[in-house]
Amino acid sequence: MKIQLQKFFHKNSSYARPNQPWVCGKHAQGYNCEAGPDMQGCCRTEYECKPYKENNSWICSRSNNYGGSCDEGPMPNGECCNKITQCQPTRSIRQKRSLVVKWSVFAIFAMMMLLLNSHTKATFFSPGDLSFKHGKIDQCSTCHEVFDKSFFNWVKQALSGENTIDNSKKCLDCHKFGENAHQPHGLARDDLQQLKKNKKETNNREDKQLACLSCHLEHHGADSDLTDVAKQNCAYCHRLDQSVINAQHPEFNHYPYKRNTRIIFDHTTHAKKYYYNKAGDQLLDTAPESCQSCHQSDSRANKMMQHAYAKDCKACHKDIFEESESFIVFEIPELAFDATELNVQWPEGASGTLTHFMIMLLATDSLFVEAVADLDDYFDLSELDKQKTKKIVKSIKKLFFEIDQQGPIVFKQRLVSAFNCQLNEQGQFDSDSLCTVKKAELDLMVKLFPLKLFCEAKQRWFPSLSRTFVNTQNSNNFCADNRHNHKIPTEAGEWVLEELSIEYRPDKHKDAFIKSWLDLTSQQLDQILPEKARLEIFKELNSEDASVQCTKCHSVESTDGKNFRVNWPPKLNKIAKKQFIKFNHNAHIKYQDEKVCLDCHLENLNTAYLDSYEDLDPLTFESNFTTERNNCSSCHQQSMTKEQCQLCHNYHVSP
Amino acid sequence: MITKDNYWDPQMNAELVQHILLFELFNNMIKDELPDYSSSADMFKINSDDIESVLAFDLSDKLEEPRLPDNNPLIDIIYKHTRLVKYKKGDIIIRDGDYGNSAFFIASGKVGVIFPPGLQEKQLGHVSDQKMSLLKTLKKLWCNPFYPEQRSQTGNNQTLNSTVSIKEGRLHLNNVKDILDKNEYTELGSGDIFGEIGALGRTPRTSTVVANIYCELLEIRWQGLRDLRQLSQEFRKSIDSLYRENSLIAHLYSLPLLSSLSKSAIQLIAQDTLFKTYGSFEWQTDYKTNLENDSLSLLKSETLIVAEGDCSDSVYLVRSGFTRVSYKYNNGFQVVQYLGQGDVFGLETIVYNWKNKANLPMQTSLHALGYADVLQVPKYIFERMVLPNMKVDEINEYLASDVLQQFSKHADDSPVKGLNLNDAVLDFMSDYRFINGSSTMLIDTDRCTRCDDCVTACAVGHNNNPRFNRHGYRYDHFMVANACMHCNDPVCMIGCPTGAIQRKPYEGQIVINDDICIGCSTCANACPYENIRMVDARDSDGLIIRDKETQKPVLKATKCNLCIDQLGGPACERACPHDALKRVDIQDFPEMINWMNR
Amino acid sequence: MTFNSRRLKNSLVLFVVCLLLNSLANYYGTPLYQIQIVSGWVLMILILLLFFYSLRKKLTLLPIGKTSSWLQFHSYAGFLSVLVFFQHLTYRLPNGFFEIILASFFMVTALSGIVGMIFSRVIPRHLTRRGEEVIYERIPLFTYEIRKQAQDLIIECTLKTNSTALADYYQNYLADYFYKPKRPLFHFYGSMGALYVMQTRHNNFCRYLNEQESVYAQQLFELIRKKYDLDFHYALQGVLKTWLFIHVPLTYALILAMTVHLMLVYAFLGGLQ
Repeated sequence: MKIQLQKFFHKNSSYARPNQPWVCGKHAQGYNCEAGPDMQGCCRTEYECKPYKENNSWICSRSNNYGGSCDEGPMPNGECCNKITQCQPTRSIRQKRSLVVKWSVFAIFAMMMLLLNSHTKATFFSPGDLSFKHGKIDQCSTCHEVFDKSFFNWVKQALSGENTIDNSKKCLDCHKFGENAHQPHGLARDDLQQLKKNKKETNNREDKQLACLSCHLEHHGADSDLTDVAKQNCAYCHRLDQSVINAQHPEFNHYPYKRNTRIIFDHTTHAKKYYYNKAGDQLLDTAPESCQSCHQSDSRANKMMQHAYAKDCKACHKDIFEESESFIVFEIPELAFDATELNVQWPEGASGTLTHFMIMLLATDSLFVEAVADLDDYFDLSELDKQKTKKIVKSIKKLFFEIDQQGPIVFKQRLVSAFNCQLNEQGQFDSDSLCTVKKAELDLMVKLFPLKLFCEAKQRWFPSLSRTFVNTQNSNNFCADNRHNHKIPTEAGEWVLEELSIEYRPDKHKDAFIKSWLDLTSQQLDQILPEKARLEIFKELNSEDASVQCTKCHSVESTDGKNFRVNWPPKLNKIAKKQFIKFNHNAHIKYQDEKVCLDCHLENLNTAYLDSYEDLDPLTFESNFTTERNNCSSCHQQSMTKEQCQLCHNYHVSP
Repeated sequence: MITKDNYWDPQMNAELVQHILLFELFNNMIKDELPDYSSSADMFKINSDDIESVLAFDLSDKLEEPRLPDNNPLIDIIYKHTRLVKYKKGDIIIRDGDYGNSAFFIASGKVGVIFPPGLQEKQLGHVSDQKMSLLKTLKKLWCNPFYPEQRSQTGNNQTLNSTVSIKEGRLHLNNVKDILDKNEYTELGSGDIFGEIGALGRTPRTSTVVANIYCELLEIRWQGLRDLRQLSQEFRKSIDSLYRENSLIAHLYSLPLLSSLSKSAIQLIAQDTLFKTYGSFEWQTDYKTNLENDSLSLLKSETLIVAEGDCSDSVYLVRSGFTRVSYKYNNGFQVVQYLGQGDVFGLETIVYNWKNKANLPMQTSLHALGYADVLQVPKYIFERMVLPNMKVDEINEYLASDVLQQFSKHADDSPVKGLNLNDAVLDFMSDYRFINGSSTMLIDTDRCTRCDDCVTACAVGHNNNPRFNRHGYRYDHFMVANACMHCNDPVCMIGCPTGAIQRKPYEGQIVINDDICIGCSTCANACPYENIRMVDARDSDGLIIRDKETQKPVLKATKCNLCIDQLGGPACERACPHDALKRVDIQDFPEMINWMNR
Repeated sequence: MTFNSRRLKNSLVLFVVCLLLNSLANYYGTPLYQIQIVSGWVLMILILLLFFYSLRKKLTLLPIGKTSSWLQFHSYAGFLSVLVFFQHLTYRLPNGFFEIILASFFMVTALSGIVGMIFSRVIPRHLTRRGEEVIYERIPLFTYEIRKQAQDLIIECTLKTNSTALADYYQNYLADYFYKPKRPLFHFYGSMGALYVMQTRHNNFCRYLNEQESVYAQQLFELIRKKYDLDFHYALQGVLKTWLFIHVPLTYALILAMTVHLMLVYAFLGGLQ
């Protein structure tokens, strides 16, 4: 038999109403009352119909859709005969689902609100453990200032424009990166502008701040490395694309990039000529066998440093010092007049000229200054008249007398004056002075002074000084008291007393006397006479005829032709700021043969290396070597090795 | 034996019959004592003795009801198929566009027949099909009433206004004189008959008829008209000539097949065309019982119009209703297609025979589905007037028709037929008479997740009341849901006393005007597909509103209205997330098959 | 268009959108720490667009596109959101409590959506092919009717045959069965096992019946079969209705948590100004 449950006839099957929220509770018993549940879900029927009176009889008024008039009819008193027990209406499926949704929204909302304002918000909302280096931090507010404040402050922070910087501010409490820590590279805006002039455009973020958290991502678990910064981060400002080394990295031309080498060393001539014997076929014993004989990596494995002179250069160049000649420091000048004419005591046979050293010492003496005031060539005394000559004589003798009485301190005092410096009561430099020299150098000058010889010279040349000059206070009679036995330091060369001069011969590398004088005379002076003198001294010491021409190897720089700088060390020892570039030589050349250096440092045989030093401008230079970007990019490709910017470049370059 | 079961007017009695017999309409029929030559059966003889005996009834004796003679055809017709109705001045008798199945004979009084364009929608109590504004739509989404079927008791009627109102269950024009003055109309008086074409032809009324003064009308339903036509040759001739003059020529003009012919040619064709009605006019009453049977007996119950193998001597034009074209396969019938209003049957064979001077018989048979009005145009008219003027392309099209191709090889070893899925769908649609539908709701149950989003969307659009049920007959995985199909032959519209159920002219949606529906349940009972449901109107607390006098619940007929007032169209179709629901025009068979075969 | 061609077209569109997003990310240059901000916003917009589908379902009357088109968009955008989600998480599990909860909200919502989609495509076919089509809310009513029919049958049998055997059998073995829907999980797998057991038991019992009783027993078994199919519909239609109990509430939870996450990120993040 075919049982059909669902009838289609309009009287059997009224509309199904899934949209109604409440369903009669007796629906499952096939019962549906006329009224149905109300809005609140309460059953509201008591009787099946409400009988009405017609012609003195009660009629059942039940709707046809609910069964029509019942057979029994109403009770005599007008009550319906079918009383209904009230049902408990149930919710429809849609209503149930809507309720679940509302409750779940409420629950989640309440939970969020509770958690956001609770004590456990730190553990709950933390996006992950801190790296182990920050493991000691247990308060969120250590880094996130706003954390301990209320939820609404969080929202305010979220909406503010400074949120990224605010969250990085606290990093600087422990990690010092200078004033400009939140600038790109930690450099001030002007510095960045400066750098940019020379390079390809970056995308103009110099005016915006760059928070620490831009690159250093925390909360990635205890094992995460905060310094592991993605290469893409550089790409944002420096507008780089994927395969950087190959395509967009600047060429490595113009090695050594910034300036010429401080030590003038022509690799080409040495490697091709000087290291070989006269015939040119055999390497000298003293010559290095390979690049690495002279160049070894520093402690950071970064730069390939040369050894000191003693190891690298001395073997060949010791003759310079061992066979050097002396030069005159003090000399008795020839006067225009006879001593007798002047009625002064003067050593006989004096035929020399005033040395510039002496002029330097005499330049602060008013006598001398007056005397040579009108001279164009101030050390040519032949043009002076008697009066002036007498003054010259007196000033020279005064010098000797003062030194005799007070010792080498006079030396220092006179030089201090000459160099615009002032000593205070404690004998220290006055900080307000226009002093251009360093105290250490002047002190060294005192140490180097050949007191013994000087006293001997004085005795020989001016025996009767005490008759001319009166002892001042604090005179100690240096020469007389045998204090001239002080030791001359080992870095000093050899002082020689000639008949009418005291000469100095530098006999080793790093001669302190010449070095000091070069340093002292490299800066411009105010007073005319000292200025002239110092320029002459500087020129003399630098000329090719000098006893030892330090500046043959140690390059001189000048921007204005008046102020100079002699580059003593090959590199500055004190690094003012961290460099942008780092290169680990060791990692590249270890376990390889000696020729490996030339794979990257390609010889540039035709350059005018030496000529480039003549303009005294360190920024114009020619190099014996070139490097090419291809040398690096042949290995540092995306596919082969790492190609991180941070591999070769530092981001943090501020001190 | 006349019993109370089979007559139309429960108030009909001997007195009324006597009164009606005196009407002019029947005078001629009675006088015409000669039997009708068109039929030899005795049942069609009007026995004048019976008539005289009835006319001689003494009605002053109230104690006993006079006994009417049995088996008198005229008296049977009057008793069973007529009723006397009274209309007050201003009552609308029939409305332009409505479907009706009765004709009216004016016994006394005057009526005004308003010519097209006729009265405005507002005056006729039509539902406005203006779409809701966006704001109103948004308001509807949030402000739907909570309880189902809420109606305003105080009367928020948009329909009933100063112009039109309901009086005693009838639509009433409040100021009929003014309205008539403003419109072109003609007046019919005592002795005139109107509305017979619409009743016989199952076509919409062509004009609005209003009672000008108090009228007494004899309403004859179509069964009565049919029987009267058979009873009286005069009557039939007058009806037929009226039909030919007014209706048939207009219909022939509208056919694309004959559009190239001249006016005189059309008239010639109209002269010789036979028009017949097949099947049961009231097919909806048999429909439910027939559904229980299997398809073979269903087919056998359908009236045959033309049989396969019959001589091809006419072209059949379907005037209204539906027909099934099929051919014999083994012991059953394989349906080829179904034809509705405006379709042509048998033309291919005639063209073939004319072209090849052959004598091929009818290749397929034609059955009436439910009922069909068919025009039979003789072959010689076509051969003389239509075919010579037909373009070569068209002729070739007919010659290449499947009907001829398929069956020229019919007798040979052809592959097994009858297993074509699409044909099976056709059979299903025909058996259940769903071919009537212009917006049938098809649900693909293989995709339907039973989420009821369609029902909910429908409810939202109708003040929280769904207007269909998601159940119905199924074929394979397609369900025809119990939602109004907006039939081409809207049986529901017949007999609505107030004209609350109406058809919109442009797109043909059938809508119920809730304001003027009086809840008589005629439409709900008439709908063979059970797509109209009666509901109890409720107040704002959800309790049933009761009529003050009778205490009976106020009922309203409700059904799908294709969301006629919504911005987006049918909400059900648009709300289904899985493309499972579609409103399909079954006549557009290829589109339906495409959708089914996605 | 057929479902296959629509599926192909939409998959192609999804593929193209993925490619577009990918190239956009590459072109943008994956700047400092920003890629997760970008993917986060994309994900948030996607989730909101996905959420709009549920709003669309409420705005049934407005002409803003068919719900089925919206569902197509919802499904494919859902897949895209899963991909973007994995990218946003940089293919690893999050570390903090709150973020784990947020991620699990998303994962469960997405998973439930995928499972629901599978249900929506698989279950209706089974429903069509078994038993009479019934409306879910009327199933209790139909159960009642079947039960009533069975009881009437039993009573009639008892009266006519003067034997309580069938009634006893009903009371002991079938009363509970007819009372309410049974064994939804079995029906979820389409199992006919329980019916087989009942059939075997029924056959065994029929040994002891005469012809008249057998007729009633046969009719009773038809009712058992009908009830079995009804239970099947109850179980599977129930699944189709209840999977949304997970998907929809979690969506709202996800959106709430996502808003809190957005606020937290912007309150505590690093990155470019």
